[in-house]
Formats: sequence, C-alpha cells, structure tokens
Amino acid sequence: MDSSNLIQNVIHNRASQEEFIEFQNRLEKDPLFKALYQEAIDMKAITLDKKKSEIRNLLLEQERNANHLKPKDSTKSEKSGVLRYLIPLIAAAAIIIFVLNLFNNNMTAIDLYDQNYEPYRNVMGGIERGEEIKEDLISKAFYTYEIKDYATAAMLFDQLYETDHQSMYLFYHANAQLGQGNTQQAISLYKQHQNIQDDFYARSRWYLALAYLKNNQIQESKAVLEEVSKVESYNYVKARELLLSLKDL
Amino acid sequence: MKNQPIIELLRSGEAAFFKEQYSLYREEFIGYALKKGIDPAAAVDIYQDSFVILFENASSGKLQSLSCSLKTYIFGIANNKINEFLRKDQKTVNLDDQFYIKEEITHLDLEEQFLNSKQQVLRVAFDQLGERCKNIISLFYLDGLTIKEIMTVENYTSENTVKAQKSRCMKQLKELTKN
Repeated sequence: MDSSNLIQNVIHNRASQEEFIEFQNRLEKDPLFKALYQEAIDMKAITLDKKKSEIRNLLLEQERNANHLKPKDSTKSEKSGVLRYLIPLIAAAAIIIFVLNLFNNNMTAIDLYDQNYEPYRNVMGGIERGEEIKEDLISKAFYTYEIKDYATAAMLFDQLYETDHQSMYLFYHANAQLGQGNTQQAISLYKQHQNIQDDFYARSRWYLALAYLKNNQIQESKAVLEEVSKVESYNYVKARELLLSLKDL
Repeated sequence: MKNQPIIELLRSGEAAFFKEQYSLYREEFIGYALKKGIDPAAAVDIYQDSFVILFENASSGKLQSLSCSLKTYIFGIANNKINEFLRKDQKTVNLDDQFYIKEEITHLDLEEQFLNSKQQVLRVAFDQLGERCKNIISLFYLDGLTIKEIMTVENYTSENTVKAQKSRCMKQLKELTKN
C-alpha cells in the first residue's frame, strides 16, 4: 500500500489489522516512512490547533452576542437606579486600579513570581477524601507532590526518572525542586526537559520562565516568556501580561 | 452508529452546530457554576474550554461515539473542569454534591493538547500560507480525506493535480519555517 494512504489510515483510526501490522513493520525498518509519519503527526497537530483557535473565536463571538441579547426591558428609572450604584463603584474601582498600579511599579521579580506561580497540578488525579494512598513509588511520588512535601517528591521523582526514563518524571522533579525553592536545580531540570518534545513541553517552558524570575535572572525569564507568548500555548496570555509587568525591570 | 451524524458535526467543527449547542446550555451551566462558588468570568471560560476540548476529542478520534446525550457529555467535561478549577484555587470540592451526570461519564480526557516547539514553528508558518494551501493541508491531515476525495470535494481535475498542489504547499510551508 502507498505510504501516504497507509499513514492516513492509521492516523485517522481506520486502518485494518493487516494495515496496522504493515505500518508497524515499515515504521521500524524504513526511516523515510518514519519521517513521513512524523510529518503527518505534526501537520495534524497544527491544523487541529488552528481549528481550535477558530472555535475559540467563534465562542467568544457567541459570548459577545449573548451579552448583547440580555433582556432590555428595564425601565429608565431602573437604569438610573443602577447607575446611582454603579458610578460610585466605578470610581472606587478606578482608585483601586490606580493604587494597584502604583504598587505594581514597585514590584520586584520575586513579587511577580509570587503573583504568577501556582504549582502545576497532579495529572495522575487528585486525592479524594477518604481514598487510600497506594504504596508503589509512582503513587507515593504524586501523593507527596500533591500534599506539597516537595523534598520527598523531588527525591522520588528523581528515583523514578533514574529507573524509567519517562520525561513526565523529569518535569515533576523540576516542579518539586521549584516548589521547595531550589530554583537553580529547577532551572537545570527544566532546561533538560526542554530538550524532550513531550506533552509537557509548553508547560515546562512556562515554569522555566518562572524559575528564572525567582532566581532574579530577568533577561533569561523575558527571553523564555517571549517564546511562550508567540503562539497560543500553555499560559501564553499570562506570559504576555507578565512581560508587560517586567518591562521596567 | 447511532450518534454518527453528531460526531461528524463535532469532528468537522461545524460553526452553526457549535453556536447552537453553546447557547442551548449556557445559562444552565453558568447558574450551576455560580452555585459552586465560581465567578461568572471563570464560569464562561470553563464553559468555552469545555467546547474546545469537546471538539479536540471528536477531531482527534478520542470520542468516536456517544453513550449518553451530548449535553451530558459537555456537562461532564465542564463539571470536571470546575473541580479542577476549585482544586487549583484550593477550595473544597464537595463530593456529595456532584452534578447528576457523574456516574455516566467516567473516562474524560480533559487535558488540552499543546504544540511542541517544532510544531509551534510550523504553526506560525502555516498561518502565512495562502487559503488554498491551508485548505488542502487541512482537508488531508485534519479531516483525513484521501487525495481522490479532495479532488471531488474541491473540484480538481485529477488526483495528480491534487498531489502536485499539496506537494507545493508543503514545500512552501517548509520554506516559511526557515525564515
């Protein structure tokens, strides 16, 4: 079967069992076929991403319309009643924003780090009330991470990555180091993780920027944030906001 | 398959269908989220994210059929996103007060997929392509149409013309990544 059609069938979940076996054989033996497959995976990912952006814009537009279509049956007196409360609220908000801006101007890298840092969630599922904690290393590592016992979590994720080179463990090891304030160690681990193109790539880049920030390496943090903010990816909006805040630092 | 037309609409990201479904359950969902202590802006974000995940699941083939109503599926995703949000915000998740669809949805993929660095470069370049190229590449790689199907849908004169056009577009894309 033609390589392109075979790859199409596998990627779009319509390959027969025979086709799938043929696909696996060719993937193992033919580097050109492997490159074509990787190209198809990349192309599917970017076209899907493009379509997701379109859907997001569509929903934003729908949301704007929903706000426009809110009932307009309120009377004039009701409107002026609302305004009576609204004007002092707007004035108060303006004062708060002004004060916050003053405060913001004096913000240090550490302040901005504290404002933006929140631990990356435990993807292995949260611990529910009354749930028994399993004794295996993976469960223990994620459990200690979730309860913010970062020193233990870092040790366990390090052990896990040593025995089983799954990039996810490297990412969580970096997170645990950042969580316990070992920023230098965290930076080194995130940088190591950046060489691996896994599902956590965009997330680890965001945390690398934060780690630089905490380490007062502002220029390095800005450079990473510039990259994060270029395309619609994990926390790209936050990255743009953070870059603005970092402008004067 | 019973739900195939719906899956097809979701997979293709049909604008009218998404708009309709979005409007249908919006008020109910926002009301539910507010009761859970989520502010209105965050509730809207969660509701929108749920639709993007719904599309992604359908388009990537993770969602191939529905064993419940589409509303149940959407609320299943959204409800999980609420719990995730509350957990992040360190608020208590009341397990006794879960939404009524909890039992029906057990395995939802909530993690939105992001692009790796190489794909991000390709994505920027893709936006610079002409509409004709974007279209042929999307039809082939995202919608999974064969060369022959693209020929029919897009009124090309032969399969070879489609192949040549696709090849030119891919070459152009690669050139753009070098800039």
